[in-house]
Amino acid sequence: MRTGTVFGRPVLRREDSRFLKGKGVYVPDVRLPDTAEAVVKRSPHAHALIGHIDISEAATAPGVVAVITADDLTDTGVYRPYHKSPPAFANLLQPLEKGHDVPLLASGRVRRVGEPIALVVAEDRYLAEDAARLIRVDYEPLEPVLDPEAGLRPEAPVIHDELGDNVQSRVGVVVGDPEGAMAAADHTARFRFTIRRQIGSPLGPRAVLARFDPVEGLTVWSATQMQHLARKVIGGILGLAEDRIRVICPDMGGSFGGGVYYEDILIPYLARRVGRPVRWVEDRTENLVNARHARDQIHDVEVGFDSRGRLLALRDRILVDMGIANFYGLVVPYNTISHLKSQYRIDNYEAAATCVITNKTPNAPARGAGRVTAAFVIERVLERVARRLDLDPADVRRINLIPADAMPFDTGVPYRDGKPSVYDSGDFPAQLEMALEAIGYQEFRARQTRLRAEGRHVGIGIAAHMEGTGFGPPESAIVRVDGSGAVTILSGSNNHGQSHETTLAQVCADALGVDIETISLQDGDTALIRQGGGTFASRTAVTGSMAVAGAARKLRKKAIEMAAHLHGVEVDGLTVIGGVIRDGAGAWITTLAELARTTGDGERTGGRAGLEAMGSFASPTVTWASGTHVVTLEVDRDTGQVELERYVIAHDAGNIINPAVVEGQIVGGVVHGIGNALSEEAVYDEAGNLLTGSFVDYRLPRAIDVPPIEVHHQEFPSGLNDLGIKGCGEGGTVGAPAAIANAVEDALLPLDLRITEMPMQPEKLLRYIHQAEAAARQVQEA
Amino acid sequence: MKPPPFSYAAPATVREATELLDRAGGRARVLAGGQSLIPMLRHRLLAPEALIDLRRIEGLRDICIDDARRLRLGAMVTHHALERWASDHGQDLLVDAAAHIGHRSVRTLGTVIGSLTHADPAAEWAAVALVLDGACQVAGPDGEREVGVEELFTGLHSTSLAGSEIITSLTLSLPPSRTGAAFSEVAPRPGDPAVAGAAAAVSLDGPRVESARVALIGLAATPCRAPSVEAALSGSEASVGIEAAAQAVENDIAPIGDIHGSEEYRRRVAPVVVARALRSALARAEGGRP
Repeated sequence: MRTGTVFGRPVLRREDSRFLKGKGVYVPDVRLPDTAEAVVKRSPHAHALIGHIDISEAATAPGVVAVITADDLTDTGVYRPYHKSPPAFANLLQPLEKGHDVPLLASGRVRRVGEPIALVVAEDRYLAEDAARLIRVDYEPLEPVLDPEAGLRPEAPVIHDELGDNVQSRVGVVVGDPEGAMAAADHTARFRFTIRRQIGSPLGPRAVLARFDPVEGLTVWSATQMQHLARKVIGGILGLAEDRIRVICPDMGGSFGGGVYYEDILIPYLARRVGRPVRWVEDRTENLVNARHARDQIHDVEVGFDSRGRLLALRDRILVDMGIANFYGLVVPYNTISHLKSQYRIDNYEAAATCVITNKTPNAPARGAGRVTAAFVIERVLERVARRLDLDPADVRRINLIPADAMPFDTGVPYRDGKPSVYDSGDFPAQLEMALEAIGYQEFRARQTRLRAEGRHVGIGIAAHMEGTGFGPPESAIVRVDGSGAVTILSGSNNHGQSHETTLAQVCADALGVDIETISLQDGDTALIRQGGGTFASRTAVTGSMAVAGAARKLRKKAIEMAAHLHGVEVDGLTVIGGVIRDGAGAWITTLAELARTTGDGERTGGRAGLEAMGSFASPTVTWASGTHVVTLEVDRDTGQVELERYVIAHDAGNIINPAVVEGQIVGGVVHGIGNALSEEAVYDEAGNLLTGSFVDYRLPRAIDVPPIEVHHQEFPSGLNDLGIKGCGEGGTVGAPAAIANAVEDALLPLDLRITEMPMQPEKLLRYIHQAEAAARQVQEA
Repeated sequence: MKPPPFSYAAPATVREATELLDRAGGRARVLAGGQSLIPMLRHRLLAPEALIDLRRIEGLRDICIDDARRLRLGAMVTHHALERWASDHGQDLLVDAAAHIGHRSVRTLGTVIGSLTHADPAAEWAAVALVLDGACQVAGPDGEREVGVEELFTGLHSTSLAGSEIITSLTLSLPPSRTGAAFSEVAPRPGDPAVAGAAAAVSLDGPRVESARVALIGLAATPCRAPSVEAALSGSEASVGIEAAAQAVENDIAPIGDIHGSEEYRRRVAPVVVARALRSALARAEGGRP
């Protein structure tokens, strides 16, 4: 473990006192005088032509300030989702990427349930809700496309005329000679895996508050992960220069994915139009219907393997149910493709993904974007190979894992930035053994045999994950010291639960040479700093930390030079510890606080004004975190219910800034994965209505559904940043559904159950059990 | 919470409450624990003109054993209050059933009688009340009357109560000696709405079942008794008859599939919950515990 004064130590979360006492300030807590409230009128149809929209009754209802529809949006630009991969990637893989406009308010046609049609602004929320119900819309229902395979058929209705058909994008990769290797393999098998639609559900739904002042410009408070991106998008569509817009992202009740939504643009638009601050607070049903839908992939897989279980070739044809728009280009489909080979050596590999437009909510990255499905597929394949050959699933993994001496390992699959995917460091076989030993694999097998004799169904499941972390635009930070010695970090990233107020302060404390107690963090505000990437893709520990370290190191150098100049000593040998500058002999020279007080005096400091410095960092490419999950559980064969017993994860996040925070991130991730595995499913009916519009039916895991989770750390530093950090925000989620599916199958042996779908709710599992029992009876009768 | 507009009253007596209901002519709703009513208002599934809150009326939180040795509980007794009383008095059936109701926070606010009047087909107390020969004391503008729980449920979320009537209390016959009672349920997760649930009370006469009462939830439009199971059990050798009796439940159910469980799944797990409830009830009867 790399340790400095505080780097590497389990420092208590500095944001806890605020959050645990309910003192956080969220968007709905921000109060501005004269604020009006907005409600969105949404489509009840999955696909319909819109005739007349009658707003007359709503517009004159009590307390109504304004009602707007698409007809009013004559003074806004076009919202055209990002759909072009970076040139380095596009030149290499030649993906098909088609773009189309997304109307901010539906015009002429609605394409999904929940699509915004009109906005009502009123004196309060109740009046706005009352008035929204008075808007009359004439619909002429059209046939909806709710299944990507149906959407590809020639007779399917085309959802966006501009696209010509329902294919929005297509991307594929070939490594080695999959066709030849498949033909030559001793064994082959084919599978179809279906990963259902799931929703990244934060505790706090979204909210936007906007104020427009002709002099000050536009200020937007939004629960977004990327304030600088939001500013850019809002400015582009509303025709405002970026410097006339300030986006503030205060405390957030989690996020789990998602960037800039319609409301982030429409609410500022309304504030400018009505000349009053306007606020919109999403409710839970709106959140479930409209935000952060994810997963929803179908995989047709073919695998070739030898008699020892070594994978010789893997082919996967992937369909992604994209919903009505793809706001994130190839992020999700290509994450799946680039993570499918996981920790295993698969020399011959081919994968292609097609993103199909359907009449559903847009499919977007949510925690573990594209990777949860990749891990599910590859780990299910390995498990089936083990069953087919009657081998121990642990042994099949041992024989396929990339050995430690092959590191760094180039998978042969380019990453999304067009650079090679090179696993920078790690020891996967040791990680597997670490996890197996922690759970007591052999002891479990003995207990399993005993319990099986008693008619009980306990099982154990293994799954590995890989996680390319630290992706995306550069991150920047400013560090400054004031005359009291207080240190402030201004970060372009933002914190929606990842403990940045603690971890970035730890990095800063060591790099600058001050006590952590003197440091505070400000982030999530475009006024703080010119450029910021934001928090997503498990990136801030890598990019945010490096930006802070860069700024703090620069500031330390500046302070030392200033001290040397002021006190007539040599720079060499000067140290900064606890904010005190000493010479090589340990003699007290000055303090950062004192220097800060002097900086106004340009003559004395030799022109070095301001105890402040800026740093920025762009990762050369992703750094690869990894993990191995092992879970034990028991299945109730009569009802299909699953009870998790124990969960162990061995994990490599490189050098760890704060082991308690990393553990929290991983445990939180695993809990998310448990929900994905067993209970969370966004269910649509045949008409395209989302049936799971509340937490009674969209079943997130609760404390009582979660077993004890043990985290064991490996620390193989990354070579891509000098702090040696890898990200860790999503890996817990990535491997969990795969491990749980494998354990369920294992529990129900000797029934030859084949889990090909996630999530595995009790009802679905009982259907699998009955099918397997019926098949077993047939075999017996034959 | 953004309901349509409504007026609110918290009368001090049952009489006042029924008068207010009568005056509203069916456009008012009674508020007790609010665990179903408030979410329905939030989703604007209901738009009552008035809410009549029972919280100020004295005596509605009482739990006692009445002169007829029946358990009597008032309209404002919460799930948690009954759960605690049952736990203190060794009433395992009530303890079993309460554990399946929502979460602790729901149980400390929601009321037993509120749940009965909501007439949800998956409500745990309905099965308990059916097995324990429950009766509701009902107050209305024309005075009081008693409605057996068997006559209470008339359909999905509907009861035989008139719009101006309030159930003021519920009485239950607690199981006598050599009678065991238990509850079993399958739900997507603990605390979720029941896909199938069964309450069973079994009285023994030596090794034989003297009588059995079984009630089901989640398996029809209303909570209901399971006459085929009861008939199959009566007089049978207790230890051998359970599985066969449980299978007979298919004659007693008409499940309706929804997002929590399809019709097929409900059919599959119906015999499982019946058998589990019966086995626990039998063990308790044999152990001399109610």
